[in-house]
Amino acid sequence: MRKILSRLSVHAYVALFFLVLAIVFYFLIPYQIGKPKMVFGRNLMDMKPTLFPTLAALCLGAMCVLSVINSYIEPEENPFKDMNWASFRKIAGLIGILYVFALMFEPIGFLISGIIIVGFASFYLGNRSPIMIAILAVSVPSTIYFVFIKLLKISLPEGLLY
Amino acid sequence: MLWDSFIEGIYLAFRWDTFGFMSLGLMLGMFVGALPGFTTVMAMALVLPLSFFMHPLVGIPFLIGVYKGGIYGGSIPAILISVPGTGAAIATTFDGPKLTQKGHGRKALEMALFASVIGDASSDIFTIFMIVPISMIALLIGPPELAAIIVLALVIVAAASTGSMIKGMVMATFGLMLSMVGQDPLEFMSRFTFGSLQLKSGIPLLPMMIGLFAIPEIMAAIERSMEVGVKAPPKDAHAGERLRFWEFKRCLRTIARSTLLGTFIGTVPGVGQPVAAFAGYAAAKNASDHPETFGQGDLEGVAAAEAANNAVNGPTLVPLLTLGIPGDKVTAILLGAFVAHGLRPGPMLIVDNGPTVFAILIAMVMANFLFIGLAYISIPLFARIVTLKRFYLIPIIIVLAFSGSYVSRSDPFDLQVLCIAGVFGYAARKLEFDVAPLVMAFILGQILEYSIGQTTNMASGNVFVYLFTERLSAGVIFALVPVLVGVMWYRTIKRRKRGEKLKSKVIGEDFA
Amino acid sequence: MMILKRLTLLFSAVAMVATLGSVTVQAKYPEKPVTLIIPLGAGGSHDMNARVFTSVIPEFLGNAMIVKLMPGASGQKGTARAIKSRPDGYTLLFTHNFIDQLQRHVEKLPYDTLKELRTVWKFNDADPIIYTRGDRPWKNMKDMMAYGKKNPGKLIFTNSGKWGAGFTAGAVILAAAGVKAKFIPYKGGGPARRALLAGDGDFTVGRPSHIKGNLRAGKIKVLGLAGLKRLKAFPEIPTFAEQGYPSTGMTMDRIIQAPAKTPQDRIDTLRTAFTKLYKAKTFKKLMKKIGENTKFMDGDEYDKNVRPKQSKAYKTLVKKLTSK
Repeated sequence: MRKILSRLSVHAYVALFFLVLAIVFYFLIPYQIGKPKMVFGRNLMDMKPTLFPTLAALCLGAMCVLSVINSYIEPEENPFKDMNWASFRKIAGLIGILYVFALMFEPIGFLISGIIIVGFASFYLGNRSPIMIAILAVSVPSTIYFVFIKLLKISLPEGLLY
Repeated sequence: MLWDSFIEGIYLAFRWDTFGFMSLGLMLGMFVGALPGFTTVMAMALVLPLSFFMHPLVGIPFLIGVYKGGIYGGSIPAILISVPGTGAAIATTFDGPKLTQKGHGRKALEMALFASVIGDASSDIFTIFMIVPISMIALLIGPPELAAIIVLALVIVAAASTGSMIKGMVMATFGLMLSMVGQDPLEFMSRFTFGSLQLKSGIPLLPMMIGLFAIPEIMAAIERSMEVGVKAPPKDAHAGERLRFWEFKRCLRTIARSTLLGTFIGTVPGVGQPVAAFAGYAAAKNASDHPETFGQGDLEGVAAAEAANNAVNGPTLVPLLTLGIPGDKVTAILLGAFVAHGLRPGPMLIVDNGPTVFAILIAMVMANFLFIGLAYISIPLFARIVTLKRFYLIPIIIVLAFSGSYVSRSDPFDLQVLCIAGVFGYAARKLEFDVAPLVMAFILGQILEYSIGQTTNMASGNVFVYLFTERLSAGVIFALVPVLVGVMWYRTIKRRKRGEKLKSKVIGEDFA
Repeated sequence: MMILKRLTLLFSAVAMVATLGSVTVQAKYPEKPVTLIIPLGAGGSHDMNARVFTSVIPEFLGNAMIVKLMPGASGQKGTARAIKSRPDGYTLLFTHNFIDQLQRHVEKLPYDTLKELRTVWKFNDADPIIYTRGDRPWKNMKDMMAYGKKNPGKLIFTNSGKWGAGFTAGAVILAAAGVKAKFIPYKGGGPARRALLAGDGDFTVGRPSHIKGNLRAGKIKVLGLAGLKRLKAFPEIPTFAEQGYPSTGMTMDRIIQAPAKTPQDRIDTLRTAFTKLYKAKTFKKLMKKIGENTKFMDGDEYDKNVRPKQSKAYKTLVKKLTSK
């Protein structure tokens, strides 16, 4: 048993993760999908809304099992072996900035949150010239705002501006 | 009679205001298409009222110009900053950004331009001469046939994914699962929405695609800069280098194949450009003798995707012109434009207004040639943008990606989808999973479920019997699927055997 | 490189000045553009109607109206957003009667449109027609329904989606005639029409302006029109009422609504602007060009006379259709 486990790579664990998702999905089906209303005394569609989700879950499950077996037959290299953890931290930080932007977008408004995020991101990525950061932070969101709202009449959130 | 209309159409088409406004439309469309998230449908809807005040031979080519310009325009940010400007450019992000990193951004843009124009012009000319057969195909392709074609397409794409086929299938089936979140397309029952109104409308496609493809590219760029040190990329001698003729010639076969695929997909209403781009890419990769270079910055990949997605444009108009049926949102807007100008799309259109129709089609072909000139000049401008330093470029990309994702549905939830997809895409990249099958299965899964639901209703009983008796064409295509799977499996094994032989050869040499 | 930097600076300076300059100090409403939420997708008839009138309204309203498309969940996403928005007259909802009055009886909604939205203006309406293939043996609705009764389950109705505008018209007639038909859903009126022309269906619902071409070619026959009056552009199409079938509840009313608590003076300003708009020649010409009418109604009148009655009628309809 130990021998088998040691030969399982990261990829097998990933496959197991998806397998769990598939199983959860499968069991959620009866709870999350309702029964359609009948029209003229019978169902409008001969195909039930549960068919495809069931098929999808079963197929995913099958593929995951195959993937685990495959990972045992042809062990692949661990991709995390020589990973640069410093750059990973930087990337994680950037993802955090992105998520904050997503949350700020509507309440604070496109223009203001854009200015903040662009300035912060630029600094985070290594820009050290305060003048250039300021220019970049203000000009880019303003240009997009101008083009989208005034020229193209597409609406971006105003947020705190009004 | 038809020939006379055609000749008269040629005379009608060559007016200065038609060409003038078409050029304006092309440039406008290209600019708008280059803005991520701003779809060609939106652009056309915006200028539609303007076109009402023009003569039909000016207004309609103007709209068509916006449409065509937009399809190419979407590839500009796709190549330069790996954010697709339109859904059609998604397959261009496989090779485009890597080419830009190598300093070949301008080459990639030019290749995309030539491939797009050739694909578009060829399918337009094909459309003009084959208008009647194409409209018959459009009528023949109903839900069962569509379902069969989709299954075929899924197989092609799954087989062509980078890395192991099993991993591709895991991604594909996961994408299928994700497409089930939201309202079911047939009965509108909520599925896996957990009471949330946001999830009820399903996972939004464009933010998901931008997250899956663009954000990992940004992360990869940061990784690279951390390795070399945080300084600007060296002034590459290749930057701004033009496309060489021999590079272009090498891709001609791929462009031809993609054009055929795209034209065919264009005749099937309801499939669309993103699918055509994926299919063209997958087919090129499968047919190539060096599939490893695809996805690493191969010009052929860009050519394959771009020729295919533009080749869809011509045939898409046929159901509209000959039957009065809009196949997608773009043709829906064009239908409105036709009606507003007093033209009645349908079987009588060619009879009543033959010369006008042919004039519009001819103008469409001419638009391509106009476009080459106009766009070729603007490419160097665009290509320069990526020479900015990382801490300027990346924040710009971020803001563009976010505004693009927000604009289609005005829902901040879409931005969260963008971030989550970004994380997933980055993880997938690290774990060597290809997310293209996921996106394809996501798009196609919805169409497939819908078509099979319709087919089941039409069959009202045994579906298999129905497929092979009343809708033989669908049955035949379904039967082809296992055959195709077998062929691709065989090819993969053959390639692997060849790869192993090469490997053992190298090892042998080492020891010699 | 320097050129790029300088250009960016110049452009952003211009952009900022333009942006700031547009925020002029006006005490009057509307002092900034009004957002018009459309809970439907791009390219649809609402989008087109909206593009037309938003291009002309600024001169009557004093400021622009910006279209905001919010498709999703059969219109529920956009409707929910409009209801939750600030009732200050700067957010309006451009929707139709099926979303406003029918949906509530088909599924449980997290809001109550009748209570939380008030109608500013009924924009126009669209009477659907039912048409069939040119080669089918029946000449009018009665003949087709007779066939349907004799052959239950054989008559094929290609509709554009459950409980949508296309579906409702067909379902009402089928229910009234007591016919059991086969329903095949399609993604929109276009594909439903394709199916009909290809022979995969017997009848479908559509708009008169879209089928002119096929009608002339003889590929299709129009069996009837919803509503109570014949159309001026198509005087030969009889209404369903004339043929002894129900003729109401199938028409799509396009309405502009605002959150219920919006102050009355702002609603009055909007209504004045619309009244002036509907008298304008350019507007009427454009609407005619896209094949739409301008049968407007004042919002309060719609709220009083149409909404509650129609909603009750839909309740009965849904009950009837889903009970047997």
